[in-house]
Amino acid sequence: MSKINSWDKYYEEMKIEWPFSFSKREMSIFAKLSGDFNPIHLNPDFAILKGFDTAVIYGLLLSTQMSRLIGQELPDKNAILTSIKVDFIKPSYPEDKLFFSATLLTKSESTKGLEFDCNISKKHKTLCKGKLEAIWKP
Amino acid sequence: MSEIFEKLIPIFQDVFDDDILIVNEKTKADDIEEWDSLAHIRLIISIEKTFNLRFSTDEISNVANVGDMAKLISLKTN
Repeated sequence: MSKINSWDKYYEEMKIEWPFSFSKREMSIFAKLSGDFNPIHLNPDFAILKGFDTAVIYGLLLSTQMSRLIGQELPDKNAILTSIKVDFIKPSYPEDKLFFSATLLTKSESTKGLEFDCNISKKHKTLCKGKLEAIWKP
Repeated sequence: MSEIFEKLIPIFQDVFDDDILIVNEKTKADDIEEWDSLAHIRLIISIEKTFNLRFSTDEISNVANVGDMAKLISLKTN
């Protein structure tokens, strides 16, 4: 019964939000985890030469917040991520104060499928947006 | 029913990423290699959005082929 009740805690237009940021140290950890040591993410001088303000946060490091959404921030632990589509619109930098926002667009009663619209912003300007799909498996 | 198929075919083409995919009343999941459980969820959600309706679990479990799906859509939209 409790499993059914936790599905009922999901509702369309449900909004989930939190602030976050990434440090230079976390960038280094991500470089090791991913194997991507491109200097645009690790060397501010190199990134400035390319026209950025400083070293650019990895797009897929930003996307980790989408994993956090599905795994950690939903009403229960029964959702499994099945698809991510992400557009990286503007760069972000270490220590930027970023904001993650997700809206549940679709809750399918027949398939237990979930669709989320996600947005990562800085000072209300969108840096990254994405669509997530998940299945709910109690 | 043909109006329903006119809308269903582009949904199938989009979900299965195949611009020349054609389905008919007899088409079933076994006929399309990529029609797995995840694709099924995308398909149902896309159909629900396109036709502005919602299926129940029971309704979906009784659908054996695209013809059954079209009949169900017709039933729910008329």
